[in-house]
Amino acid sequence: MTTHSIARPEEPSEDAAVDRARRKEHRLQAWLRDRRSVLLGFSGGVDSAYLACVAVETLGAQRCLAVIGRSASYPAEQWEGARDIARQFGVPVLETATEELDDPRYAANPTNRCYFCKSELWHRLVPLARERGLAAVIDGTNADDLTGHRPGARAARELGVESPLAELGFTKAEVRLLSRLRGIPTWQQPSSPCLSSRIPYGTAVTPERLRAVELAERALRALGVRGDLRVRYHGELARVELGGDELARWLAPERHAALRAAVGGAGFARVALDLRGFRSGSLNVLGGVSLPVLAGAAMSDG
Amino acid sequence: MTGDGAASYAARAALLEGALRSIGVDCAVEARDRLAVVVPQRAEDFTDPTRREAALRLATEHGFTHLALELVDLAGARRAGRDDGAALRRD
Repeated sequence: MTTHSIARPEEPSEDAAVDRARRKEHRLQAWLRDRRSVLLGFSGGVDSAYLACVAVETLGAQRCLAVIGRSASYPAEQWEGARDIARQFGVPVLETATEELDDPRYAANPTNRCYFCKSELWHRLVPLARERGLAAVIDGTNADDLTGHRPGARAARELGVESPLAELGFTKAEVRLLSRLRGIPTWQQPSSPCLSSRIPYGTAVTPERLRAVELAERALRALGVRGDLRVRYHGELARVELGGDELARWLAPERHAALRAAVGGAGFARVALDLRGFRSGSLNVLGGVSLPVLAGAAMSDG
Repeated sequence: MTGDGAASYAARAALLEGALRSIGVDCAVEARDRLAVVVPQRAEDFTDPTRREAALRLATEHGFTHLALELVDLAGARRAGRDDGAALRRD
């Protein structure tokens, strides 16, 4: 799995932060013991990887099942990472294909697109949990996520999916900190939402467009781009968002040809560097999703 | 976006182009809804963080939420320009 450098989660006193986070982890273990057995929606991202590891440690592998929903919107690199984590920490994994792209309500890419995706996922996973005798269905939503534009969370609520990290008040920084203390390599992994988040609302999501975005991002990683990275789809033009110091590094004119070649190889005729750099939820802003629900909140769909 | 909206952003792009010129950035600006794509005459114009910040501020003032620098092959375009007299794209 590729890892990328992200600043270590630190607070004025790391000891105090560790104590606070560990207390939450003890509550999480108690929460899991109360449920007795769980099926976890598992993407291999920072949150679900941490939750899978704690669940297996607390309940044992017999009482846990991590399910990966695979489709064209799920990056292959993340899938490989998820499988690596599962192997390393003894997490039982099942893969199931999801078909959100076949749903015209999803493919039309409305601002609540994530609702249709998660609805498809949980409609598969909730019956699966019942079949297998697993008492609870859980996901890795954390407390920070609750402030963002997350229409997918509604689908989870409708189907009774629980979010223990959010319920117990885990912040993303705490999940990263606890992951680091446990040696889970995702602690420093950039957030990695689904590939559809690279396509502006109202522009149809197709397998070909997702593939172009995925190839472009992979080519940029191979070129040496580190940290947060998004290739946003604008028809023949790819707009590249880079995080931290990477923007200044790649704005150097002598690097432009390499960027053009990498992204051009994925099928984009034009390549542009976003001068503001990486912004989570950048396309929410572009798409005018600046409704009250987002006022003052982090936008977090990618 | 409606036709009126597209026209509005095209007009804003023209204004932004002038505003960027006033801070020393010669370029063409293409509007794509709230995204302004800058097609530069000099690739190094945005390496200076102060100028970059100024450009971002101007873009916001002109109603754009995003400003992106197109990575054009300026040397190739200049060579082609010498061959056929064509200027850099300014649409």
